Amino acid sequence: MKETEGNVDTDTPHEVKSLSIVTNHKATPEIHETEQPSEAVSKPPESQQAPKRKNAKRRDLSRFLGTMPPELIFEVLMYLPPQDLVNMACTTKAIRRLLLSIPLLWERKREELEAPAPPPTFSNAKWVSFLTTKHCYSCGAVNVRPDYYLLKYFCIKCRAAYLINDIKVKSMFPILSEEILHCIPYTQMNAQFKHNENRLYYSEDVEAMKFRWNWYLVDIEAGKEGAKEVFDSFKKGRAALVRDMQEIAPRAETWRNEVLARRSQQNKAVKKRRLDDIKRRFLRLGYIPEDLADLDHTDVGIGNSVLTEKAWEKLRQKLEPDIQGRKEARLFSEKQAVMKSRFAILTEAWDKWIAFLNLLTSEHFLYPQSFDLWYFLPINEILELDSGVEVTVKDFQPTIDIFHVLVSEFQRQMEVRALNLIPVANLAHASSNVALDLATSIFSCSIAPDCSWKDSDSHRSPALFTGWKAASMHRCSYTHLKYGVRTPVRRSRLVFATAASKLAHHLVHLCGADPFTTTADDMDTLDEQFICETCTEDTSGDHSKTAKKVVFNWRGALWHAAGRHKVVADDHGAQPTFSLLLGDVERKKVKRKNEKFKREALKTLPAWYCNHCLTYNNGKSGVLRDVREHVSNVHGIEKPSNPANYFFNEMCRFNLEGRWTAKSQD
Amino acid sequence: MVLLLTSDNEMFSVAEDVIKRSAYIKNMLEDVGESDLPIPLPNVESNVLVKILEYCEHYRGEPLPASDVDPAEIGDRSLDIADWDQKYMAVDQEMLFEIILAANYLDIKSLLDVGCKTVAKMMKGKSSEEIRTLFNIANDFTPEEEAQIRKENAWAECR
Repeated sequence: MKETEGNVDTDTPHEVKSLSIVTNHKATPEIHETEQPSEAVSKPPESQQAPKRKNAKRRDLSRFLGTMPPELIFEVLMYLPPQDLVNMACTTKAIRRLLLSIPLLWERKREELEAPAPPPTFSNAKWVSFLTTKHCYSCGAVNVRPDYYLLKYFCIKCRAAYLINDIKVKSMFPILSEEILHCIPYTQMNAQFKHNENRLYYSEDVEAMKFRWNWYLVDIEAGKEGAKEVFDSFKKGRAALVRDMQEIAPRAETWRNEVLARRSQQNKAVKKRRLDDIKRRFLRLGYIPEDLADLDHTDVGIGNSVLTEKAWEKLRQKLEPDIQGRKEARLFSEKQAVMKSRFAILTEAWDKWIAFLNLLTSEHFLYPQSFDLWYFLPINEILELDSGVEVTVKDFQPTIDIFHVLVSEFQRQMEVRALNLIPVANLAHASSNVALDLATSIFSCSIAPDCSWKDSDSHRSPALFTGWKAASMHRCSYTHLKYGVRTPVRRSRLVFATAASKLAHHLVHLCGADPFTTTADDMDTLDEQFICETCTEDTSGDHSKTAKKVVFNWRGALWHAAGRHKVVADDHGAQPTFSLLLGDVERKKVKRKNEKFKREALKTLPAWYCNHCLTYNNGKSGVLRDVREHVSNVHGIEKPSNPANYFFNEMCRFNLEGRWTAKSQD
Repeated sequence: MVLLLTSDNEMFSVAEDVIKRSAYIKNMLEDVGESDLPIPLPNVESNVLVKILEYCEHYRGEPLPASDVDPAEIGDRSLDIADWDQKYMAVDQEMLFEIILAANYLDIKSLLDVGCKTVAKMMKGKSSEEIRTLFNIANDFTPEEEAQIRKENAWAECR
């Protein structure tokens, strides 16, 4: 094929590439149209696609710009923001020359900035450069505020160093004419850009003006023709320039403020769009607007540009934990409401069932409380159903029908749990029927003394529960919230009081009884008295020979050891030594005192429950006389003094029997 | 069909409605009428023409852009580029510049816009040094000249 001056010799067969044969097969002179040209063009074989030049030499931008028609360069550059154009003009000399040779470009850029017209000595290029530059002219510090009065950028330090007031000008240049200052640009902005009375001049401007001024004066002194006129013209021109600069500066300041305000609004809008985008993405991940409420006030920098995938991934990592936390809190809150509602249905059914049983109050202590129902497996399964499932009383009916079974199992488990706490060494074959009632079966609360109810039937004693009867009455104030429902944890808090049990074993042994079969009731019946060999009446622990020894009944001895000698659970402390009080006279004397004290205490001690209801004294124990009145008045019982009408609060036993009696030294 | 002859003597047969996106070819066809003679494209190499035709084929059937707008007018100067166009323009710099020159020569306004936007986008937000690195150009300013550029003086001469 020949080609001359752009003309084609059509006589010579050509290699023709139709749209369908943009392939490598050559020299088919026939021109044929493809049946499916679209596909062929849109997907040319790879070998015919624009060659990928992995290692192609980069074409020099300036060469490219040099070969481009000016209107094309203009077209590209018009897309660039003014700041980028300024940057580009600082890449190479050739590019700079090229860009500065298109004044229209810079005029358009100034218009894009909506900036006021440039000052008299400024071209549009210089003005655009000035308006977009943020470097300190002296030290190069960035993000510096411009001084439009001086048409310069100075950082605070350089302002202080190079801007001088007229007094300093006069001291630095004593022979300087006053007139010269009218020809030098000045600013009245202080370092904080507040208007100041003093005029500030840039020291280099003063130097330059001084040099120029002298230059004119030399000409005049030399008698050069027209030198004076030239000087006058210069002075006039300079003074006009300074006036113009003073006039333009406020307009430029206003422009700057407007730009900043506009930019701030744009940034806010962009940030809002970005935030909305972030929210949309989180919503797509399954969160709901409520979960995203904190996003509006998050400390995490959201950014204010278009959200890229990379930025999204980074932000997601930072933001999602809190959002997830909020979602979980929401779900928990929703579930809590559902659970409360379900639990209310259950409690209503439970209360009805309990009321139907017409239990004695003493029996109530051995029955589960409504909160305990949560832990019954068949009930728990219903309560814990997904929040979206509607639960009615019908769903609970199968478990309501077996409440009695569940209660039996609950009571059995409670006893088994207590039984399992008793060390094997404490039991013998003979004690199998009375294991929980043995004098040595002493329990405590693992978080005593902090577990006691305030304003309630608190055990104002060292937390020792002798036997299951006392242990089952312990109401621990420690609870936890399960879906907003207060749940007691008392039963799981019981521990075995090993050291106290060992002491009890010792006391039983001192009585000559069998610790493996002697119950607490047996010990109460024996009612032996014990002397603490460690202590005396004087609580300071003075062991002088004149000090009186202290005597306790067996329960009192245990409480004394627990309170005074910290003998409760652990087995590591030194056990106090007790001895049996011997001598009938002494024993009778002590017992008499105890009996008398008990009789008095029983009258005033609020240690009695009504055995017919839980409403008396809001479920708390009260004084015996009041309970009897209640039994008579509320329940209409003719003989309220019958012991079946009331029962003792074991938590108050310490107040009844925990006292000591002083015994003179032998 | 229209025959196109590239500067490296490759002949292309192209459907008229595809190549009419080029105002240059369109005008030529209108002026010359039907002809078996190929249209010489002395400023376009075959590999560049393949790319140009890919673009024209993609936009085949879509309305041609309005007549020329004065580029000096401040209009929509957004640098948004359609997804397909972005992928299309994902070529090395030399090919990019060739596409722009060819689009300008063939007077394909929309392609020219995309090309110019792509170049502008490459430069957008970049410092002088970054632009130099991007286009592999050497800095021929002395440190003193650079310092001068920072100040307003270097801009004073142009008005």
